Amino acid sequence: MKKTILVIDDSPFASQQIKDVVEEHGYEVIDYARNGEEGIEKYKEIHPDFVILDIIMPGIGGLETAEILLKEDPKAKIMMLSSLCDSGTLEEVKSIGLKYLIPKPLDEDVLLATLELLKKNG
Amino acid sequence: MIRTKVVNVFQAFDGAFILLTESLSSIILEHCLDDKDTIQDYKMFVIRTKGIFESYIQIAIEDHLLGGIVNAISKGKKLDETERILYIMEYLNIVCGRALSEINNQVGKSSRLTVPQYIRDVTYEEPFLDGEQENLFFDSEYGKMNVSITYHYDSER
Repeated sequence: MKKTILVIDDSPFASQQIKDVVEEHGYEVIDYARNGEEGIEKYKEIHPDFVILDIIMPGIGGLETAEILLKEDPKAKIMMLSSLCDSGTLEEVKSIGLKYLIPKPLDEDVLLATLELLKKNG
Repeated sequence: MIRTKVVNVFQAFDGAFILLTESLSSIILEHCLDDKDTIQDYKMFVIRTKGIFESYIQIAIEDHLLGGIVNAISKGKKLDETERILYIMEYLNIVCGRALSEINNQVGKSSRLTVPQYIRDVTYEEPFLDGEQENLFFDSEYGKMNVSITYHYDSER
């Protein structure tokens, strides 16, 4: 059975890129959300195996969305995504209990390798 | 203390725009003479940064260049006007995010980027802008792009 992914990103470009890469490698993007609030509602409905979550979005940002998702489900497997990939931003991601931040523009190998790490380590 | 002297804002943005535009769309941006008046038929976008590095970034992209970038990153997908705007805003998010990441690493503290904003009224001017300014003027086979960065360091943060 394919592992399912919820993509939370306001960019249709990024969402399409993610879909194109992951669905060639045995994953299924089962839904999209264009902002954090919508993402939280969809997570509760569909309980995906993984969440790929953008940091910079309108409304509540990605970090706050991730905190809410983790409160809702401490075992949620979330990978953050951002055009901002400096060490300070990585520290912010770690400070909320997450391990993975991948940069935009997306690199196919980095995305797939990080999904594998998320699968193994959570 | 903020190491502002080592932060080359011009270089951070210039490098990001040139390198990422080429890698995302294969379009080469070249520096051209700084003449704001020659840009025509363009769309305007604004991004802000907040934190120690506070800035207002205004980007004017000629429509043909915008189309060239969007066509490349969408791999020729047919898009309506709203989608085109969303695609170019993501391009600007990626490029400005790269520039800001470099600045954040140099400053030693992270500033944040806002979601890009499409400004329909091209005569709009942001009020109360204060600080230093860098201007980038690019030309390409598709058209021109002007980038204006007004910034200051908020050392209280």
